[in-house]
Amino acid sequence: MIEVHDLDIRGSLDVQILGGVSVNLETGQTVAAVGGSGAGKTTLGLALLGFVRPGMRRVGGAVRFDGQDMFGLTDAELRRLRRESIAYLPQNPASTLTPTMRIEDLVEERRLAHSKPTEHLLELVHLPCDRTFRRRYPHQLSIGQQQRVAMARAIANEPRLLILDEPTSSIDPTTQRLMLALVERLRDEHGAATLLISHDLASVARMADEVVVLRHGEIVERGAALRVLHSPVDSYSKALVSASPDIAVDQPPLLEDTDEPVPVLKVRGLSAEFNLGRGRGRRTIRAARDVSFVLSAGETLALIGRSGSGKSTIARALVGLHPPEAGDVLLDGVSVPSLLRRRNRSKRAAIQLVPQNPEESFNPRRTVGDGILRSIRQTRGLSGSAATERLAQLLDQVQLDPALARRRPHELSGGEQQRAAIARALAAEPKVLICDEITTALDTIVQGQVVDLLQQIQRDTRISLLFITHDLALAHEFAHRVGVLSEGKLVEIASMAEFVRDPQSAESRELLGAAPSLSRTLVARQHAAAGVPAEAAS
Amino acid sequence: MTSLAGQEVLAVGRRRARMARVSPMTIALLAVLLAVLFIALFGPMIAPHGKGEVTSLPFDPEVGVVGTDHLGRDVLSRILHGGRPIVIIPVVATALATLIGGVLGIAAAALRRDDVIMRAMDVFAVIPSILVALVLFHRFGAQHWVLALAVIIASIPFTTRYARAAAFPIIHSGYVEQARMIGEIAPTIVVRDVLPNLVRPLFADAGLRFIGAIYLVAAAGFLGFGPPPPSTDWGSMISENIGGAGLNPWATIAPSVFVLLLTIPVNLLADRFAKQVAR
Repeated sequence: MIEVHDLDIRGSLDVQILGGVSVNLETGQTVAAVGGSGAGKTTLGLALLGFVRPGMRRVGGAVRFDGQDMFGLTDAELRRLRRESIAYLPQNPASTLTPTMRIEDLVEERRLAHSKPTEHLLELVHLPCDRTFRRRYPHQLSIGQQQRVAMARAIANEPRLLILDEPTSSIDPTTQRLMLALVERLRDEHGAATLLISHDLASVARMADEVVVLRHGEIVERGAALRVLHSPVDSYSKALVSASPDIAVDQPPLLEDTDEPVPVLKVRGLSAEFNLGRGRGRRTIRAARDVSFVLSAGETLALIGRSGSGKSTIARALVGLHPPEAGDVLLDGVSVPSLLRRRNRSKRAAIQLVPQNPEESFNPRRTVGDGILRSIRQTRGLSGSAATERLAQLLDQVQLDPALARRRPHELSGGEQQRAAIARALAAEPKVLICDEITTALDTIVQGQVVDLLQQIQRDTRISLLFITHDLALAHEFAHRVGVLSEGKLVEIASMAEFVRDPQSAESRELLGAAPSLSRTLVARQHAAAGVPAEAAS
Repeated sequence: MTSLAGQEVLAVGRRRARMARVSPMTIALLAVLLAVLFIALFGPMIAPHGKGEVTSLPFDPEVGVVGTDHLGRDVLSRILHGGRPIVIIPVVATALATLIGGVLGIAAAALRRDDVIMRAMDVFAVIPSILVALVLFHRFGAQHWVLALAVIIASIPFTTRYARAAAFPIIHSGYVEQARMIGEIAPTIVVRDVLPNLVRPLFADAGLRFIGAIYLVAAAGFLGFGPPPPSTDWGSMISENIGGAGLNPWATIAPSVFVLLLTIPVNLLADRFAKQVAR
């Protein structure tokens, strides 16, 4: 139905974005494009819309929809084709909603003559369809609801081609399942073809018929999904598959301490809230409610929870950026003041944070090395050659090329930025390192490298890690214990092995059930192919 | 998370793009601006006649390059003498206004209760600048510092508002938080983190304020609040000679052209600068 033939797209300075890429999508077929960041996956997805991003140009190849070249169409023809036959959901689906339009208009806008009525579309995505709700604006909805409105828009024209760009990276498990079910429904009822762009190999394994592995804009491997994901041939595909965190794969036992655990950080009854908006529309959100836990030396505690469960607020409260409403933080048995300016140098240094967005945490007008040096000077009181020596040590510790430290933050890749941020936190020689969603923006291979680095640092320094994430499968790979947050409350805290074996709370079971597992999905699909019902397979 | 090699290429690309950004048009605009500034500042030294020297009959188009004015003085010499106030007053006033507005804007962005500053600025902003200038002239006379004060009062509300908007995301950025976490004190954070990132947007804003200042100075001259005779500025010259435009149109056109040659390049350059900042 749609055919990408030998597509060549280049960026500025003739950098290859896509080179000689050919992909065929037949009616009812789902093709997944996988690969690291910068592999050209999004560019490929947009090319299926007949769109090349500004700053890039097509130097060769064609995209044919029902045999007609999309790049040969006039603007009006192209718009018509997109409107009637294609749906595109970007990485953050909520961003597709025009903030000044009402929900019903947003859905109505995408409907065609033969489409289902708006109420029906809203029902399909499990949203209320009463008049009050339909007349709301996007900002009056929760993020999950916004994402579902975006999905209702995507299915409104009953598209023949569906392009999903990392659809599961920013949405919670329930919404995720709904989205996958909708895609399957479109495929079964209308024979829609789907291009699924994802780094989540488990959802690829569930959905895709065929997989193409992209690297530097070239296809390094392609084939039936089960074959590629089960026994990849290319070395890069192998790395991708093995780097994919899998909740069902038993982890080799972590190095357990023989000694009694030495508590380093004690958090008692921490409650924090923050205000959304100002003036009349102001709302108070209770982000942490009576949270207590202990973190021992050399231990990794994973705090997991969905977005909005209060994870980041707890991290910010611990480093003193967000004054809590109640609760104590004790470091080695000594109370730590909740306000940053009341903390002395050693207390500030002892708890360090690696932020979610490393690029944004470095001053854009200074080099990355400058940022690390500043922390060395300020937290350890070193200066001159002692400081530069320490910088060299730290760069070595995080395996970052010293030449890169002379660059500005935007000139580094995501993984390099994250290493630099870790080096800056280590400069303070902290006892506790808080990592707030530090792997979210990284692809699986780089993510694995960063996690390995943290583990190695922990072995060398017996630092305590508080690893905040929504990715249970990743935490499962290296955390000793896990705490589950739900609406600001710590609903469960247990050792990782025990948690996986026997989760205690409903939220834990939900998170465990939604955690990606490539191996499990592959087995289920193989059984399905052999005619065994899915329930029996699992 | 492009690979190392790809990242290298991208980084080189960015560096080149930064250098290639100076277009021929920008250079041409800069050249015009510098030429006009040169004439304004050093004009009195190269003028063929004194500023009050009568060389011929009034509005005689035949004398000199662009003829004589309403008192028979050489227009070209008068233009060369009359550039300083229209350049120096706006430059000084805009610099001061940006400085004060920048400080107020940063303070407003950093403080949790910024309403006091911003509401006060709103009150200032609704008073028309020319009205401020005229009231001040009537009280203190048409002196240079009064003109500058009028420009400053007229600019500060807008500069403050702009500086606040530009400083807000910087003050709430990850790198400022990072600096706070390692215990840097507020003045250090302002100097090392906030100001370097605020300079470019403030410069772009100053360019636009500068044009407003030139118009105000020119308008004051046109309305008769120029420097005391025989001193002059381009705005005063336009109004002095407009009555004789039928006899010697150049006496009006020439000073107008110089005002335009000053404001148009500044306007376009500030626009370009603002666009670069936005990137």
